[in-house]
Amino acid sequence: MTPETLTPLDDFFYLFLSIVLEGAPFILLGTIISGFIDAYLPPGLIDKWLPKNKPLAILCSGLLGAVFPVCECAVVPVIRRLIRKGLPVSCAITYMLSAPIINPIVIVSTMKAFSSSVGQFSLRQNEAMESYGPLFMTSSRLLIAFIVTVSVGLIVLKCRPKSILKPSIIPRSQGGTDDEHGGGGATISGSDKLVLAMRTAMRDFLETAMYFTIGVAITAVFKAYVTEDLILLFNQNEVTGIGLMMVLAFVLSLCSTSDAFIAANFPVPQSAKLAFLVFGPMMDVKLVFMYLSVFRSKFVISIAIGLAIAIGVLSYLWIRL
Amino acid sequence: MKKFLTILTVATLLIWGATFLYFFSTGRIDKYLDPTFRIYALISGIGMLILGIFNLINHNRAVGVCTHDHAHGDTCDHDHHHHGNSHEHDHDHKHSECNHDHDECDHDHSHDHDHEGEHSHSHDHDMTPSGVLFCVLVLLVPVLAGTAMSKDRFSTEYLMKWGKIERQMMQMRIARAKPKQQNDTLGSVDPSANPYTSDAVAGDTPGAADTPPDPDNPNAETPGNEGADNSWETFTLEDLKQMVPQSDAGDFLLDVPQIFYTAGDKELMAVMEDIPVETTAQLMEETLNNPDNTRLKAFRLFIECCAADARPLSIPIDFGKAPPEYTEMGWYKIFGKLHYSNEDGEILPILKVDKVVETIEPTDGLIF
Repeated sequence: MTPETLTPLDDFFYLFLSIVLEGAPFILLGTIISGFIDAYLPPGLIDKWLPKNKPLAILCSGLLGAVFPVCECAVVPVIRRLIRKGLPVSCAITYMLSAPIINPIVIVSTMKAFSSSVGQFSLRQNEAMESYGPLFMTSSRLLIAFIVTVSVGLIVLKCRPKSILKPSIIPRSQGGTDDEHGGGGATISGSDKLVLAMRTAMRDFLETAMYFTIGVAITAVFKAYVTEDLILLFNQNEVTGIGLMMVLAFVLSLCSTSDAFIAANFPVPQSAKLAFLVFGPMMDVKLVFMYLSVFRSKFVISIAIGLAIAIGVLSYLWIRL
Repeated sequence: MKKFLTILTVATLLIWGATFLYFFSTGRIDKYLDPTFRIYALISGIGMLILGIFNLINHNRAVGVCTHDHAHGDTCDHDHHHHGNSHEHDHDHKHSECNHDHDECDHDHSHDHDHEGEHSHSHDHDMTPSGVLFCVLVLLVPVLAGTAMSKDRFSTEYLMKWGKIERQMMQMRIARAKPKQQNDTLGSVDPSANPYTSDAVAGDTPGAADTPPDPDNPNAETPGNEGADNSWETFTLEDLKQMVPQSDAGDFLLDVPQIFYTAGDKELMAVMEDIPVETTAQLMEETLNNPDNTRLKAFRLFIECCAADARPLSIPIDFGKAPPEYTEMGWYKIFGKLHYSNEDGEILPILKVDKVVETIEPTDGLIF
């Protein structure tokens, strides 16, 4: 006896909806925060909070996720609005890349995933299966993420905002235009600010969700149609494993709060797992489309390649130290 | 046009919110998300509705009225003199040096001028009408089509594909862990640990992950064990009894994933060889390890956060003869004895079936 026959298209819809249902709440949260930032946060205020010394400000931005934890879906609309509010682009990008990893939720989930890579099914701890403990993997993930994101921030510091940002995002203070209606505008009443916040939140949600949806659809196509022989490629050698795990992280577009559970069970070297854990929350299919709502396409391509090389090399070397 | 687009975007948000609430209220969401994420979906569905209704009520309200000239936008109250498609270019010039007529353009400029003039434009107020329509289509078509057409489960082909990947990964993992596990555990097996098997542990039981047991010399040490530091405490049947509940008949109530992950752990396999097991799982054709066509595959789906990360973990179940008629992907209670087999260099947990009984899907059909 056989039940109704399902097709890869059915798998696609199931995968697609599951990621949308999982990720959209975080996008909504991010865009609501973004709306309120737009309406209530005076331009330039964040700049005042950060150290005047630019490299020091970038270092602080790299750790900001520990205080303001957001996942990769929520952070894009937030930084988009913060940039328009005057947050230096270098700090914004550092925060955007680091916050999905350097935050308490991800720290706990990574620890948990590597404490027992078979999780709840383990009849006893399978640490014998692992060469490195959870503390090592978690701290390595955080450290490499911090080094990479701060480095990116320092590089971006040397660039002109207009060469990185889409024209519509560049704040006037950095050579762009000014559409800041909120916080700084003394002419807006309290109730008007709420209307503005909600209006901005809706607009940001729809735009961000559109890019998110495109990315999720591509991810779902991959999962529904990829062949099983692919997995054999991952163990050809360590360098190949690192590269392919980053490709996998890019395509699967997993949430940073859950990706460690997937990585922990992959039969690849620890360096490849590390590359997967650091690269994925910074760059994946859905994020590429979301980044394109803020950054120029050349910058997105450059940063994707740069991150892949830097994270791959660091992961490879780190395990050998 | 502006009003129409505004209502269209609000409607899109409301449809998304309603879709989220629909999934939650009908229970369909149980097939998609871990319980924690279901709450988030509910809250966000309500949030989208509130956001949409609020903006619908206030869509005519003018706030933060701009005093500057916009380049583009559809919800602005003034004429932008632009329309259509979009392109980007860096002018790096004074506006007075533009040699084209902005009012005549049929596209969205998004200029990146180094402004020296007093005007400003090109900010992120809104998308063009075509942009809004594209956005609405992207947001609505796949979500509504998926809601209408998704069967809330995977196809057999998908489960077979990813089930094979899980088995391959498990075997690779065992192979990768071999040297360390040998050093840690070999030699620490208590031969009296398992009373269920007449051979006790050392005979035809699971050997070290890398080296099949030698039938002629079952107690022989495996290379690599010399001088092993047996730092683990020995795992015994009593430990298993404390961890795993048993039925009235004395069968250990184990889930397929629990059995799946015992493969390769010498101590666990030694203790669990030949124990009576009752498990509930879905059945499908065994296509991977089925030399005599006497096996089916029992599997469970394990989900971390959402169905996209679902992992079909499976074990072969062996009937010793041709399997009985069964419903593909149907739910069954399976009773039998657990056995570990080394086939083609792979350590496989196999359930030797005493009987299977069709059952309904348990409330925890998906394991989160």
